[in-house]
Amino acid sequence: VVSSRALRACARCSSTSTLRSWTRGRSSTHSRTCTKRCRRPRRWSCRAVASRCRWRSTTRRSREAVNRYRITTRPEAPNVVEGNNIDYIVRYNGLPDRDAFYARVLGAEWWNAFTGFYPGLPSLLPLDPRSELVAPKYNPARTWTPEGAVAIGGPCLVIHPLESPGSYQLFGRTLPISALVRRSRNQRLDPVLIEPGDRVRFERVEEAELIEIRRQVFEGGYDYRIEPGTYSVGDHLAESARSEGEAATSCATRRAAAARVKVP
Amino acid sequence: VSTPRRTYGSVSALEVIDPGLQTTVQDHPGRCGLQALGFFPAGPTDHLAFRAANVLVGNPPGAAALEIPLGQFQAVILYSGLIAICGASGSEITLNGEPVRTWESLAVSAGDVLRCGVARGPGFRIYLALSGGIAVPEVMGSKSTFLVGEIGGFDGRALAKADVLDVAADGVGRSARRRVPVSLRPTYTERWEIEVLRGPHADPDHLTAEDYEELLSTDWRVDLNSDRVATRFHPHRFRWARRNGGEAGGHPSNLLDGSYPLGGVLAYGDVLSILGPESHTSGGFAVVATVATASLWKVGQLRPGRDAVRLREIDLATAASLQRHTEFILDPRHMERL
Repeated sequence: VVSSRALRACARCSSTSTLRSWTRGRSSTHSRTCTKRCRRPRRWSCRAVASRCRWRSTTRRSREAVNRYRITTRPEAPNVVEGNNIDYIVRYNGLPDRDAFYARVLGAEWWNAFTGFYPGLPSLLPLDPRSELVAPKYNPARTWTPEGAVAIGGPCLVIHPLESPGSYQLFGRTLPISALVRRSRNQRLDPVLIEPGDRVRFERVEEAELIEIRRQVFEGGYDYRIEPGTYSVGDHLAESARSEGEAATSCATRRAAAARVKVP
Repeated sequence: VSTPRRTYGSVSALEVIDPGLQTTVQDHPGRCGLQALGFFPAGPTDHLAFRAANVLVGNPPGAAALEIPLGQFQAVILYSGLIAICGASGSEITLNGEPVRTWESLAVSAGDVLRCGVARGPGFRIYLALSGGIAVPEVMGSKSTFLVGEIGGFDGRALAKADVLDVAADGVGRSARRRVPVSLRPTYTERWEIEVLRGPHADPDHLTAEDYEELLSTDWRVDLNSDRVATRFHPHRFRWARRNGGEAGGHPSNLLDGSYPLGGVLAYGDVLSILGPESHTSGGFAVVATVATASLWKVGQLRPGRDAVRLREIDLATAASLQRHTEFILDPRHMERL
């Protein structure tokens, strides 16, 4: 995964105080950009840091979460009958197969619009409107989700920072993104890895490789790939306008498919 | 595995023999101000009994104390001071085999054995305060245990056998006993009425007027899957004022993700849940009502699998007067001296 982190001051208004810091010794170098305060979004741009996350689809843990739900909560829910949520997401978005779905996730740059749910969970939206995916949420919620699970609910793609309840459709697993107890090098000052305004890219790996990298994270020997970058809202809007027609077609296909699929 | 370091100026106060179901160290109001990053405050689910127990032993109302669900707990006291137990009824509580009363403080000394039996109810959680307040390190501004995040309290976890808890040294030797007058004690029941404020996602945009009527007139059964994260009710399908959640998802309860309030009554699809102190801070579901802060203590005393709840709508002014009533109960001047 690659994410880019909006860092220090907004280039436009130089504000550095949108989010509170919780560590007393923390310096202003870790404050984030002001997405809301800057009144001229069209010209707004800011320096950013990019980070990369590794991700694996359908790990054993994700399947276990789906199966626990089938056993304890609702066996006949349309999103879990196959023993996973991916086939349901594929049908709901009118995609030909799983590979097309993976291509969408891997091809897009995901922008963190909001941090919340549990500490450090990013709500990611694709910057390219053609990559939009949508999924209904669980009904009722799942009482257990593995840490590192990657899921989608509504238009938001999320990464679960902790073992917790959840209600979004699971489709993969990645590295730990919040370190409340054990801090890695990247999280020494801040337990939250992906902050609002960061951009994330996913990279596909095999399950064995993911388990190996996770081991390295827990042993403190893994460095997340975080790169500084620049992001211009003006360029983004111009790019979105160019792909407007294509995005509308893809949206219409998705809506037609969703109308034929049963909602949980 | 790290063990909590002894805070400067604290003394050993209690050694756990039987920790019970999930006994945790909490303080009030908990880990505030971090919701933007995904932290709900943690803290006690019943803030009223919790604070009353603290006031009875001469602590500030929010000092760290124990939350004991279902009431099963045994410990040896290691210091001389005061303790107080408030909360669920129907538990046989003894000190060295002698029955003791709840809602009043009692003097203890080193070597005393405290036993709390299973609380048969009404009510579900018992609070044990020790004079001086439990001394554990603050994590992100609070001593409350956040079990989901495994931080705060005693090493970020529920208590286990042989854990030794410390209290601040100024609690040693305290002896001014107090009692909550019977007329001021909260009434526990198996059929609760909980005060809520409407919305933010109620009728007419999300629920129909009939749905909202149903929300307030149904006896909601408390599901066994209820804990500090959420109190869940039995499934119920509303008619809803819209066919689906549009881009936010197919079920009409689905919304674009946003922040949740503590005590929000969330429509998780067809299951209503009340968000507890360790719940998630945001998500994509409709919050059809919000429990008044002053009434949140009732949610902490709901017994999973047995109790029933009726929601009663109040306005902001009534919620404020309930809050004043709570403060009246907790005022040390309104406690009886023993």
